[in-house]
Amino acid sequence: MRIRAVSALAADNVRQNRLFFLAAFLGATAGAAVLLFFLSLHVGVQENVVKRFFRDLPETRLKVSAADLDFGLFGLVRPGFLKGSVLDDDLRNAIRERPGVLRVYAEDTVRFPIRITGSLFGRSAASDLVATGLAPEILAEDLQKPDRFQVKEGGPLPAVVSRRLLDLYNGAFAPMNGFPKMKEGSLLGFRFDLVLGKSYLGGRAERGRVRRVQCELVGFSDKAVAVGVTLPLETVRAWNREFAEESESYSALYADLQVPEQVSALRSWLEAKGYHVQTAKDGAARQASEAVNALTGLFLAISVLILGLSALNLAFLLALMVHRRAPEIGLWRAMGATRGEMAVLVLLEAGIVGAAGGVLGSILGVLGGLGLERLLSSFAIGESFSPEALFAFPPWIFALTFGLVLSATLLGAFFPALMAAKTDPVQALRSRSA
Amino acid sequence: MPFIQVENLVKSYPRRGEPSGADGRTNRSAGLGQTVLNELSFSMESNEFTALFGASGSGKSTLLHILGGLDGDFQGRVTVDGLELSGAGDRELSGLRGHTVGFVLQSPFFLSYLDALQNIVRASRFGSRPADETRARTLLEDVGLKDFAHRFPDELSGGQLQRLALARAMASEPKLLLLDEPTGNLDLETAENLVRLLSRFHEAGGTLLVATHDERVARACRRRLVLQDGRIGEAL
Repeated sequence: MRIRAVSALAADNVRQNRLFFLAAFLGATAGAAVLLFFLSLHVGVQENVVKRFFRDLPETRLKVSAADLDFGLFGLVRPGFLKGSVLDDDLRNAIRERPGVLRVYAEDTVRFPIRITGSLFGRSAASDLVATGLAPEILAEDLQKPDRFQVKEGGPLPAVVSRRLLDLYNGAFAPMNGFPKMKEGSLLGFRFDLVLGKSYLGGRAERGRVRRVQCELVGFSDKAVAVGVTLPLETVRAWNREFAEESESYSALYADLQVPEQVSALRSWLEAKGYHVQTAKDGAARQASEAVNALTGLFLAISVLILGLSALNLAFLLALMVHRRAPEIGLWRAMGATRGEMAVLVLLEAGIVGAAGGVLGSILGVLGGLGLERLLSSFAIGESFSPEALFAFPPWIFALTFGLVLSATLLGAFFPALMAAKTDPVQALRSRSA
Repeated sequence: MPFIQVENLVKSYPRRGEPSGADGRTNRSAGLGQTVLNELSFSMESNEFTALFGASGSGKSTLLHILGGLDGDFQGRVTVDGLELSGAGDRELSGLRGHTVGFVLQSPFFLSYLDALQNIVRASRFGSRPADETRARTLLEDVGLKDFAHRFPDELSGGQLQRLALARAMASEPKLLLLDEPTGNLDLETAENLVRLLSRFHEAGGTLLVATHDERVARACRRRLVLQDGRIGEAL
């Protein structure tokens, strides 16, 4: 196979018959553009929306909470009701001993009335609050300045919030109250007060001394409670001892394992003991992801249909061209070309069209995505909901788009290539001579 | 061994509407239809310059196509330059065309979008010795088209096109030139020029088989064959 000669000839042919190839090129371009557009949308939504807003546990982590007692239709749920479902240090140590467990960390929830007050852009605000406690060493890995999540004598209490809270603020609270939107960086150092032992809905705690504690926002973490404030674990534990009756158990335990395959064994072990276990498989992210998959899958199917039609279009065009160029094929055969080289010639011509269409289509797909993002930017409902996050362009989607477009065009060129290979040079040259 | 050895060559074409072979597919030489070459046998030595006469439709072009490896659908034994064509595959036949044989047809086909020079360069890509532009210019000079290198086919006369076809056929330095009525459309002077070029190829050691009705061509040939009723014979 003289691939160099065939390639040069294919390039010549495409150049000379560019108008003829234009329709096929446009089809491949459209297919590539639509495919890349929806692929990038699919990946972007999955990566930046589903995974961010429907965050599940990592594959190697499970969350243990006290078993619920569900009264069916009444939907009454009471945590920690069953015997043996207490999350305490004994259980924490027992989990730590299980095979594959790297670490176990605890989360505790503030179990008494608490509210938050502060001044936002010159206006006072106050609200009841959900607060949790996490060990500093667990949150440290998410913070830019890990040492700031430490309790310091005389200083404000460090607090961490979830990024989703920021999104809620930017998306709903700020527009409703006429406040400007805020970014993570600008919020670091923001100070507010917690009123311990008193809330609007919960009233006053039966125990403990109602007081104000000043807090300072030191970072954002996805481990923080979704809508609320996360504080150092020992501080919350101390408050619970002061304000609540039961104070030895945790609200949840998290176990990190070495590999995802070990999760199910630990889960079975814990469930047999009456605990409620949540893993990556149970989360909302998975359900949201499946919904997104179904929707984007439909669009991807449309893209593939366009590609299929473009391949069919190319097949007709190339078949017509092979018929028209029979004398030329006869000439190449007379000059020493093999049947295989004639087939490869047609495939290469299709490949050139497919490759060019794939590249241009990919560029158009990216531009389309970026254009739509720009268009949607005025509808942004929060930093994390920003349309910039709707499209993602990892290298593999370019490779996949290019590969699919090229495959489609080559598939379309298959039968015309066979026609070229079977062209009888004698008949072809005779028809020219006649 | 002769340069060309043909033994009992049979070639038939199906009549219109008639099945082309026993298997209903491609075997057109199986005896069905119109027999063009019938138990034809002859041989040619290397460096022969042979004219092939015959009436229109006598099978001259068919014989040239078979000898040049363009048509592999025949019965009998045909050997060219040591290659047995009857059992050869596409690769061997293509190798023969690209390495050993050069064709010049009565109405040669050229790529209209390429000039004379590029028609030689591009067409020789599939030959065993692809011609670069320098060699293509030399070939054009040899056939008297030095000043027409950048003319396009539709800017050349019939004689010039025939000479261009000859230059193209010689680009891969073939041992054998097969020519089908090369002077059929040419005036006297142009035809004589072409014959001179063929003679030069012959003097350089080449072998030629020219299907022709033209006595001027025949006069330049050392040997004359006549194809009649599907068989071949020596002409006086």
